[in-house]
Amino acid sequence: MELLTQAITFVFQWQNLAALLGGTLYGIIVGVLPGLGPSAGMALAVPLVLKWHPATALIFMGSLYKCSNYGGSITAILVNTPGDASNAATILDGYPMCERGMGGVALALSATAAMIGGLIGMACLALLAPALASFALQFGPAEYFLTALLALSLVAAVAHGAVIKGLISGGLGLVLSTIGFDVITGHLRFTFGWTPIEDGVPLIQALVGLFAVTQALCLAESSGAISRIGRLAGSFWEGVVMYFKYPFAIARAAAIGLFVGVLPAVGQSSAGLLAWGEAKRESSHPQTFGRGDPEGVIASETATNACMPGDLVCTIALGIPGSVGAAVFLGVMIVFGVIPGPLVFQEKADVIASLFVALTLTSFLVFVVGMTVARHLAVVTLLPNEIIVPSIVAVSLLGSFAIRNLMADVLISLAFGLLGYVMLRSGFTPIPLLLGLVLGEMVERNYHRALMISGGSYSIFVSSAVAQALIALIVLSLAGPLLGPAWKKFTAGEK
Amino acid sequence: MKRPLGGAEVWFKLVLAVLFAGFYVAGLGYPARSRQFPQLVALVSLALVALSLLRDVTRGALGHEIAETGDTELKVVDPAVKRQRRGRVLRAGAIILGSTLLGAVGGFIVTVFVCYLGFAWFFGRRRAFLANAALAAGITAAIYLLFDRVMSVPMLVGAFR
Repeated sequence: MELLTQAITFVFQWQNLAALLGGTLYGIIVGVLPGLGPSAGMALAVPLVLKWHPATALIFMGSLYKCSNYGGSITAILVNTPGDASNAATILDGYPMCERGMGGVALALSATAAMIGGLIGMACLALLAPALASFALQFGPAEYFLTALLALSLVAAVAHGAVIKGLISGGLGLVLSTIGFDVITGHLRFTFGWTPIEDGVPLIQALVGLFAVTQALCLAESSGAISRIGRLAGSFWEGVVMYFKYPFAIARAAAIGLFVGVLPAVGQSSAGLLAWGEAKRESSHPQTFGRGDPEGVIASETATNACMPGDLVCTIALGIPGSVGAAVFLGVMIVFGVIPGPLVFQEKADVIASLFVALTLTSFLVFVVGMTVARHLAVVTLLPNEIIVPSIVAVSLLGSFAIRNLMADVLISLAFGLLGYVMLRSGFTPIPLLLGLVLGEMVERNYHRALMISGGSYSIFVSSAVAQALIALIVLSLAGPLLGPAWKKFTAGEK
Repeated sequence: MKRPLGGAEVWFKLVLAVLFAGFYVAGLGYPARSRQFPQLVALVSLALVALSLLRDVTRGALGHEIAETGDTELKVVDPAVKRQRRGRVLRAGAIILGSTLLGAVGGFIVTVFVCYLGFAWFFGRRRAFLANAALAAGITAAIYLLFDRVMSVPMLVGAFR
């Protein structure tokens, strides 16, 4: 209790409040710019904070990391381009809401989810952190491998309903993720001598291409604006009120987000998609998902924001980041002498407590910023495409270029943009591909580790209760779309 | 509704089949442990592509896919509208690619300006071109200030690195 009081007093000092506000605004701006994301934003900010007090610097970086997700949801909703992989699920229903002129409502749902999801995540974290950490330690390589497969199968099965095409898209992402250095042997694969991809297909550049460039090409097909009805329907406050009409969806999404968050190395990108898939599966009207159902936005954004505190716990307590952004945050912690590990909660208790108090405050700050500034961004959907399209292209390709200052990265983004456009026009969705790219390294690493532990025996993938439960969920997620209509036919026949 | 098989979907699946087969074959030259995972994924994906193509041919699944995949080429649209869309996309693609290649020589700031100018000329109203050009210059300047001056992204440096 004394520690908490000290932390609150510390955070409310003017310099720490300024760091909190600065990190929040900077994080939102960085998140809005497609291709930058929390990792690049934090990397760009490190020189700025080097001379600060460690707790102040971590407050700034933590706020930045947390709020960049909200910034990414703004572009996901308004222009169908996720700011980061963690916002991929939000475009499924957020952008269709925009097309119907309900961009303001969608932004309100996102801002409210950022606040509520973040608060739920921080509250559960404070109460359940030791139990969550010990649960996470039960996961071995086989379980991580199956968790990643579950995320891929859920996305493949529920995104647009074409299961086989979704699996093919996911398979393409997994295959592309093997380009570059092998995670186990270090052998160089499939680069054909091209240096820019020796570290693998760069994820942010691929994301920029798959969504930003693809979206630009789709918008270029027709004149007009993003909002197909030519006006904005629904207000910000309507969205805020609408959010609280789905308490079960909120609780379920938060639970999924927390579960994914405490699993080391899984990451926020899976949380949003898993929650969206589960919301659709449990819904009494699943056909509306992917067409502008508010519950889709609520599920994905709540899960992603609830995931972040758990992600931080694993990063801080176990030293295993769940995402690229968390990895950069880990590096910043080490620079400031906060060495991650089980002892950090004792040795640096004051710093960690201040960070958690600051992140709780950030949840409210994000909502205030969303209420005052972000909602006006919905007018972007009324701008003509000949202004929106070059804006998307210029800013997103610049984001690609800014990471390594390589023109090759821009060409990679363009190539993925062409791939994404052809995929869309061929009836494929690029989201499983993105997830395959994100999770590919983790899938392969844990696949090999599991086989090494078992001496080459595949029985390790079915040996534990957790593994068996995960396999059952994978089978259910793939069979569900096929069995659902058959079951409905059967029960209708009975009646 | 059933349609004769063809179009972007089938061609794309055939390209994917070649790609997955290519990954499998290219992996043969690597050590066993390095090639195991990519070859496994490539084989499974190739099987899925084959299954999907087989479904399309034998069960007329194309009609079913149209209902599920939303706004794609598979929807039955007027051929004239289709041609117009393709023309616009090709023009947009040419502007993006051209401005990027120019940026490779003159710096990314050229990419930004040419991109805006290109869209203003080919997609905007010709009478408003001067206004659009001024807007393009203004936005380019703002992006330059934000990225080059504040974030230290070198926008004036050209040529491939």
